[in-house]
Amino acid sequence: MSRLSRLSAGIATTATAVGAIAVLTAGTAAAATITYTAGGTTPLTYTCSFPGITPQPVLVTSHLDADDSVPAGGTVTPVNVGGSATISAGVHALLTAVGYDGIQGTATVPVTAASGTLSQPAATGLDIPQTIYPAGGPITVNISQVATSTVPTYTAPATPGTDTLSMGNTVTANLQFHKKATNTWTPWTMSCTLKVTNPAQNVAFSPSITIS
Amino acid sequence: MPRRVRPRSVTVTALAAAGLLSAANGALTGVGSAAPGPAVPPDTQATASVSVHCPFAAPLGPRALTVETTATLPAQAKTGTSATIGGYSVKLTLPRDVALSFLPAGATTGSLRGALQLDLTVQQDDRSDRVPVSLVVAPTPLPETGDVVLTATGTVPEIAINTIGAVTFDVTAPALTLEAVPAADAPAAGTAPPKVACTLDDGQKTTLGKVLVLPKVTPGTKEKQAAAAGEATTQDEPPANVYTQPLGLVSILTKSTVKKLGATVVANPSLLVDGFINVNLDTGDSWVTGSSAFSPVTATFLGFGFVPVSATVEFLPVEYETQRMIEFSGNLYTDPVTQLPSLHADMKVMARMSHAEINGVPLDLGPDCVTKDPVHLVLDGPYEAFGVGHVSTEPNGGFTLPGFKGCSSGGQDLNPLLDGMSSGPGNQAYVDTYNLVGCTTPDPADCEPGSNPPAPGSPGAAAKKAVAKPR
Repeated sequence: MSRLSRLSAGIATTATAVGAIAVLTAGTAAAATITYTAGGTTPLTYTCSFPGITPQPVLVTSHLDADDSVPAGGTVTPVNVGGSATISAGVHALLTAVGYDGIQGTATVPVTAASGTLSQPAATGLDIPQTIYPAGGPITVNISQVATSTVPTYTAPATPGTDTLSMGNTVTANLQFHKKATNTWTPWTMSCTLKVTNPAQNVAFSPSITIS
Repeated sequence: MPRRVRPRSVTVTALAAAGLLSAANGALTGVGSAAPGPAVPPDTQATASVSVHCPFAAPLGPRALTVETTATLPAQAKTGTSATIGGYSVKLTLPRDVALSFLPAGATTGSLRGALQLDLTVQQDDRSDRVPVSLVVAPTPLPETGDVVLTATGTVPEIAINTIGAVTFDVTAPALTLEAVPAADAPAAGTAPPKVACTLDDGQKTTLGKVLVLPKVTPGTKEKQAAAAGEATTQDEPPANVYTQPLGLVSILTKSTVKKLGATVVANPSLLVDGFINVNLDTGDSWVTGSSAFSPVTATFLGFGFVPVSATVEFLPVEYETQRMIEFSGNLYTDPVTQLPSLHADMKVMARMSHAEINGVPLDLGPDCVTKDPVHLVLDGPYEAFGVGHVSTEPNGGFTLPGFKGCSSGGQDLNPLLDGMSSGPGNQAYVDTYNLVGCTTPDPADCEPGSNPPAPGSPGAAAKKAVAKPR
């Protein structure tokens, strides 16, 4: 190898090393925690079972916090998983009419990944705090991750790119409705199915996950 | 100006939530059900064809004609609003010789025109009113041969009905006023054309159709309900902001006791059909409606306390000759004492008896052995959306079982026998409403508890719970 050649090779090697450091630096800097939301702009409509009446529409939003970028093959466990479920004024009025004014319980929210994998199909044990609602108007039920909740760990695919998490089709909730007259709680297993629409509802969490 | 069917002082509010009557040889058990209909069902096409006799001038004399009526009726109406009957049209076929009699003497060609007046009978329960309807027969040329088909059309005045329940419209015999269409240059007629008042032939069905009148504003308490059911009208109020949803599957189990017989009759479970729950978002008033039908029940008891008797009893709507489903409408309210969500239902049913056996010997009661009057049930009790509700008649009052009519065997009048054994006050009806949990699994065995209705013949859950239920 000529001297020039050796010099060129040395420059190239140096450049590669610098480039690699630059990539690593950039990757570390990008791993910020952001909030992914589904139904954030337009809430998702699920059709949920209620006592005594046919299934009713419920508007659902969900969110989770995770790194904005996950290394290929790497894992991340979201935190602050939660959301909301809004029951219309009409359904609220029907519940009031039959003597119920409060809700508490836990929810199981299924999540899917387009490319990566999840350690379990749903976030379970999400808390629905005990709340008594005054009569009238719609009610919004808050859903949040607590210490007893179980949240799936996400494993990114082996190749860089993007991946998308989505809400599953069936949300369930082990609820209790508060009977005003007796101040007692009546159990109810609520099953909510994603309403089929045309075009289909966008169940994806936004933004997509960057796989680095 | 809408024509109004006059409310009476005590209005019978068709009931609501679910119940049934069972009866045995005059013993009845209550039946119930719940919930009203969807927002605005489409109009229905109604038809009626009746035969009449019309006394045309001599030498024609009385002639038989068939009068065919068509119209569109609203499937339902709200109290305080007007029911509009549209597209009212009457077709009748005039024998050719009758048609020719209206033409100038000797003429064999020409056209007829005229008017047709009739009354539309509007009936609700035992009240009725007549709405005059004037129709026009457009100039109709006589065909070269054969009879002449005339069509009369016009507008029916709007009809305001202020009482909940089924309203029946019946046609009556028309009065015809026909004349030949004069030539353009003919002088004006000096005399009015004669009016021919036809009469209905006996023994025929004249019903054009029915409209179910539902509550527009339903009170949340018994007191308010009574006030509204009595005479209050709501014509000046804006449309109610009502949220209506189908009820889930509701099974109905009923039981009744008949004091005179000392009998308890448990009916087969039934299901509520077209059940709806409604809530007025402005006032919070809520009510349920629906309909149900009940299979005949065979009951056994001791007539007069010692004669072994069995009989088949079935509960029917008041209009049992023309319909099968018993319609209900009942109010949800908060019991002022227990604070429990409760249901108040006021309903009427007919009870029909058949296939009696006395001491094991069959006794034919005839095909139409029914109560002379409807059985009036006033039911109250807790309504439970999560499970079983219990409504029943007032423990200290109960219901009165009317006497019977049409009960005969071989020409022997059996009405007094049935009346003596069973008719009278102090009977009780218990109705349990099972709001069933929805289940979509392929195998019913996988359904959650509470998904299935009580089994036929299951021991009287109704009875036990009715006894224990809070009032």
